[in-house]
Amino acid sequence: MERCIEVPAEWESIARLIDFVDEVTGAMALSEEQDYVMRLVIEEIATNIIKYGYEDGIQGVIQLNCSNLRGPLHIIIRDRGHPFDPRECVEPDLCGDVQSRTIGGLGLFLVREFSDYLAYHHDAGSGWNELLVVKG
Amino acid sequence: MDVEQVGDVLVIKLPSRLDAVGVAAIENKLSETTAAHKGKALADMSGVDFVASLALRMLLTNLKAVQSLGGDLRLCGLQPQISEIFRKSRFDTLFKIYDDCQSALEGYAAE
Repeated sequence: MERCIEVPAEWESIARLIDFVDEVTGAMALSEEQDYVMRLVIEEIATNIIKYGYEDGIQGVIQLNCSNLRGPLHIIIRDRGHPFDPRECVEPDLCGDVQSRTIGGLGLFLVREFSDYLAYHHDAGSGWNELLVVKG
Repeated sequence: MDVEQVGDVLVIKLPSRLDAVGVAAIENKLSETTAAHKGKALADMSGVDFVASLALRMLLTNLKAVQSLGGDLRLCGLQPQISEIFRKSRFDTLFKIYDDCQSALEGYAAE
């Protein structure tokens, strides 16, 4: 099965994406782990695109495609904002105590930790970024 | 989000989905409630089946705030997938985490 959605890159779209995931996870009969990873990836990556992806004033979009046609769950997130490879994001500081601990970079760290495979491609010609996340 | 006081401990039952929408729905009430109480607080996470970085941020912000007022925020009842998130992010070193409410309340009472 394959499902896709396109939403504007704005905060109001997060609720729409979560509704979309609810539909998709029910229809695709995903495992609990795949369900969790799909929610994690969509929340962390979409939030990142909304926060940092597009210049202020630009009406950007986020495209999401979920498929398990080839067995494992494939999640593809596309946007045309600034190129950003989540695999190259700095490791978060996991060592501080309560008062000194910060959580910058934690979302992408969790995506990397819980996924089986991540691939990123920026197409300089069209400006599209594409992130593929696979979870078996 | 349900809140009840058990002795001197404020017990907060967190909702099942702590995704971006779930966090937005409770974060103000959670911080107001724990700040007003000042003392011992316990977040019952037995019903929580999703957290991401926004939820971790919310919990850490509340922990910092309540500790600076002389109190504490402890957690109980983490489901396996949530425990894994806490372990990988090392949030399990920041919070005192108990298997269930009863043992958390006993932990507070023993101090």
